[in-house]
Amino acid sequence: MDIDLIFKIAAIGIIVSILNQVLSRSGREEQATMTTLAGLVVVLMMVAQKIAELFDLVKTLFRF
Amino acid sequence: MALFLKAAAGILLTVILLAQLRQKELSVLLSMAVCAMACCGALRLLEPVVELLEELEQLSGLNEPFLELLLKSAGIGLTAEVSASICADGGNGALAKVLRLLGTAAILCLSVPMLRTLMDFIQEMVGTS
Repeated sequence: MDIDLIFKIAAIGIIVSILNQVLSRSGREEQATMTTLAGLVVVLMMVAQKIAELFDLVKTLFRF
Repeated sequence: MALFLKAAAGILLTVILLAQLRQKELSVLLSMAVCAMACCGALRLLEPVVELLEELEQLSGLNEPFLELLLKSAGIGLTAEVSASICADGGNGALAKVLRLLGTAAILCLSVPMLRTLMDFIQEMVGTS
């Protein structure tokens, strides 16, 4: 159980929402959307690794 | 035991952080990551149990396909249930139901050879009596 990963994802989420607020308040809507998208992609890469690890473990343990 | 306590602490921490995250997509991703890690922990705790089943299989002389079928069904059931719960959490109830249906169909498909064996066995018994 990787507690650090939980903190990393939460930190990215909080930073992205702050940046989103700042950029949209200063009238840069497109950059705000891009920032949210970038944060989403980074978190998605992290989560995909964990899900791949889970499926590998299911395959070996349950003899798929 | 430490693994269990660490997983429980991680899950409780996640619940608090999920309340803080405003973006729905990121909160779904965070809960997905924690579910995957907690399931990995649970499966690591189950490894000795599967080893014990293998020893029992050798002792009892049971046919290997039967235990393999049992383990595969458990794996499919676990994966389908965890994935469906994550889908339901993300607000996609229909996808969750379809995933459960997929899991059920996969297990039924796996059990066809065993059911055939059972039918042959019954026919033999009926034939002889």
